[in-house]
Amino acid sequence: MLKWISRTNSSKHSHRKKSNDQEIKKSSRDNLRILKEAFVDTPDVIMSSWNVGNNSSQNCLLIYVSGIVDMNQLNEHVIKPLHALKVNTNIDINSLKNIINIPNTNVIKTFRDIYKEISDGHPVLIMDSNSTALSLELSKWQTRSIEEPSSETVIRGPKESFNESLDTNVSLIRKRIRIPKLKIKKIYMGAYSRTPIAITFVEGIVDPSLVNEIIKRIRNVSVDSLFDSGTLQECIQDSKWSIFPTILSTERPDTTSAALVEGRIAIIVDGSPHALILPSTFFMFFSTPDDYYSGFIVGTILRVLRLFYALIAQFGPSIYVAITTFHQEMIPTTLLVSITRAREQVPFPSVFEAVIMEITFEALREASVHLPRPVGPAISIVGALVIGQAAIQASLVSPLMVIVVAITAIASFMIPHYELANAIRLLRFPIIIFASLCGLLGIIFSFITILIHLCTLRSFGVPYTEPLTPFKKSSMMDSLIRGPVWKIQKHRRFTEKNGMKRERRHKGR
Amino acid sequence: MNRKEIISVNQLLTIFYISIVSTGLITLPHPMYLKAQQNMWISIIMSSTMGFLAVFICYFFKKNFPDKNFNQIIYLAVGNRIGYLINCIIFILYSFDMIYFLKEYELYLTDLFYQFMSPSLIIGLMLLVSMYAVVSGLEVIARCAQIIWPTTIILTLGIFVLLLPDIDFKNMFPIFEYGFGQPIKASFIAMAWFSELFWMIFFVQDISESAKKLKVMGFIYVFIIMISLFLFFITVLGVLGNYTGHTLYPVSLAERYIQMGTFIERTSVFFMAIWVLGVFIKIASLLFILTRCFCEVLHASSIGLISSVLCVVYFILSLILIKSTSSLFQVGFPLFLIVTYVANFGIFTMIFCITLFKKRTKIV
Repeated sequence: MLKWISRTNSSKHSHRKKSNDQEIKKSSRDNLRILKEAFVDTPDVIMSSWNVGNNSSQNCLLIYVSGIVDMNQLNEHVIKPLHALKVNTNIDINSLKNIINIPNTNVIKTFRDIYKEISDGHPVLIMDSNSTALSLELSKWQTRSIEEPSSETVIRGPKESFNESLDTNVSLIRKRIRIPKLKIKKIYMGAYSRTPIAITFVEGIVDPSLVNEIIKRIRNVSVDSLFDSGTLQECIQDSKWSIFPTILSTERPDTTSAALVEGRIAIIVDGSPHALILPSTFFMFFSTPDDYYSGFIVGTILRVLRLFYALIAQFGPSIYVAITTFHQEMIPTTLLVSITRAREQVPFPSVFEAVIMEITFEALREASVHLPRPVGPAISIVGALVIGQAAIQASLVSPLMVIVVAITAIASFMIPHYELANAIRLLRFPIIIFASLCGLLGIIFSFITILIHLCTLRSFGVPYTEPLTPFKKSSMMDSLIRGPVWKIQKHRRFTEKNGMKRERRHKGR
Repeated sequence: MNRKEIISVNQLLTIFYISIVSTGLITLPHPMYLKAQQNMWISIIMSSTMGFLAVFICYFFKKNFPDKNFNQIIYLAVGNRIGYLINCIIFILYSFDMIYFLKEYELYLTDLFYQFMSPSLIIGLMLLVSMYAVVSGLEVIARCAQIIWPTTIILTLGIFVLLLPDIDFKNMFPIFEYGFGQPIKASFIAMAWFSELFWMIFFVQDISESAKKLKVMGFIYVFIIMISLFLFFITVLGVLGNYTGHTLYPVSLAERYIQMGTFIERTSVFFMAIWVLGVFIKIASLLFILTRCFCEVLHASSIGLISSVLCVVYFILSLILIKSTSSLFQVGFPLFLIVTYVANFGIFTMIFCITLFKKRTKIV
């Protein structure tokens, strides 16, 4: 039975494959029949045919998908010239190129190509007595305009962000890197979605083996559809089981361009406003464009502050639990008295308080993300008044616990990249449990475990903890700290072998 | 265990800096004060000679056998049968060292911080993370050490700077009150810690840089280790004076004198936390060596399986063998000194001499 089903399936599949691979017929009527068979129940696919020439002897068939084609240009530069055509003989495809005023055209030979081209928004023109057709690059996809970044806002610096159009996103990079060495390799992914992906890099700076490795990994991915770069990120990153992101995603063209100039590679997926930057190291997730636009002293201080608060976001509640449960001797007497007084009425152990408050906060945060904007403030009222104030008054939690959770929440919002913030937030829970079991020792062992894990991670062959370890003196200037621009000279290790150096922009200093 | 690992000289030496300083600062002051009294800071300078010797011998092996692991060097020096025997002896002696370190760490924590915590939990957690590090590889241990290293330096300098107002430098004098004998005797204790640098021989094949760099950086690191321990010793001696010999963990006692603005005090638990990081590096690197030795003895290659089996064995033995702090210091400590001298200094120096002799007579 199974054999029969598989045989039937395979025969159907081979039949479909055959019809797809079929070459374009010379007879316009045959072509129209095949196309109508293929596009049953697809009212958005428009097929219009008319006769051209003085004696109207040659039939012309135009196929396109409405809504994704620039109709003005199609009318102006294709349909009108063809209607106005006054020739007595049949025209071939090469002559057709001269008649219509479209700069980008492709000659196609099979029905598979027709399906592909019209899906990409390219109208296809088939002329009678020709076994080839002409694809016209006149696509016009509906897309958002270029807006301000929503998750990577800056006070100073460009306010442009990527949108869902691949061409627009590539052009935003091209606007910033105006040299022919900026290369873009296009790959299609997804059996059903056939999503175009652009792999961008600067030739001469990037390690060519890295480009090949990325192409290889993308080609090895087999998915039905790809609607966002997040799916691709999950498929191609090194450690698939790790909670830490090893590929940085950004919606800022300036961040992407800066990474390309450093010798990294950016992957842009059509339909996604987030570009993927790789290889990415741990400390890259703590840098923001603001660091580079507001001077190196301020940049360094902000970066160190972010790292410090990341530690608080990770270990804040667990340190509170450890100290109140195991190491009360550490707390100065006056503070200990006030903590004890605040916790006097609370019936729960501090670990229970911490976990409940953290879970509640996570619920509030998740709810606020999905709420419509006008309803958004309601959740803050519920969070601040109902859960915070009421819980304290009902003696369910101590005021100090609310303060600790609030500081931790603010600290987690200081991490500039959402993926890393997520990892830190989720790891907070097991660490709180460990702290309640073993005190500070539990926190230390959690730290060691995370440290070992971070040290095992690699992003496309580059150690995740670089440049701290393996120590790279040249890259240290732009990792934990943000060194002066004129000091940040060398590229990262994976491009150093090309002997390239950043251009000194401050030679006079 | 043929996995290819590459680490830099700096990474390797940070492992040993952390290993020696973190355990040395807790264990050494008490027995050294008993032997040398106020001369103990001189003893630490004297004992660094063992470190320089260890670095030189490692340099010799790296220079002459850059791609050979230690077992291959032993086999070349003494032949296969005796080499196999030496391998087994090293494994047994280091196993004792491992049990001693685990017990020392557990007793320190249960004596001072976690009186009600189960020793099995304390030892078990340490062995679990060490096993995870060993399975992840030497590169990972080295990277962890490189990240932890600054915290150890901050610990050393922090204790010194914060206790500076309480240090009475008069406690360091008079020196050589009863001749040279006392500090020399005490230096033999600290030499056991410096002899841990002989473990570098096990990682000679994994170093990506030249033998010369190993020698130069090795000497610098021995000097830094000596200075770090020296700072600790004068801090302890300066703060506690004659009381140094009355407590098992003088550094922990001295730490309690730290006070900042009459608000931040009793910070010893934070120092304990950093110390645990150091002990982790020591135990993970020793477990890595033991796993390598065991793989050589059994001609096995499954690191995960062997390290987990070893962890279970050490876990059970460390719970059974040394029961209390007094047995650790009265029986365990002298035995540890003997074992360390035989395993580190004795065997490696013997192999070095034999190899040198054979090289001179052009046998190797």
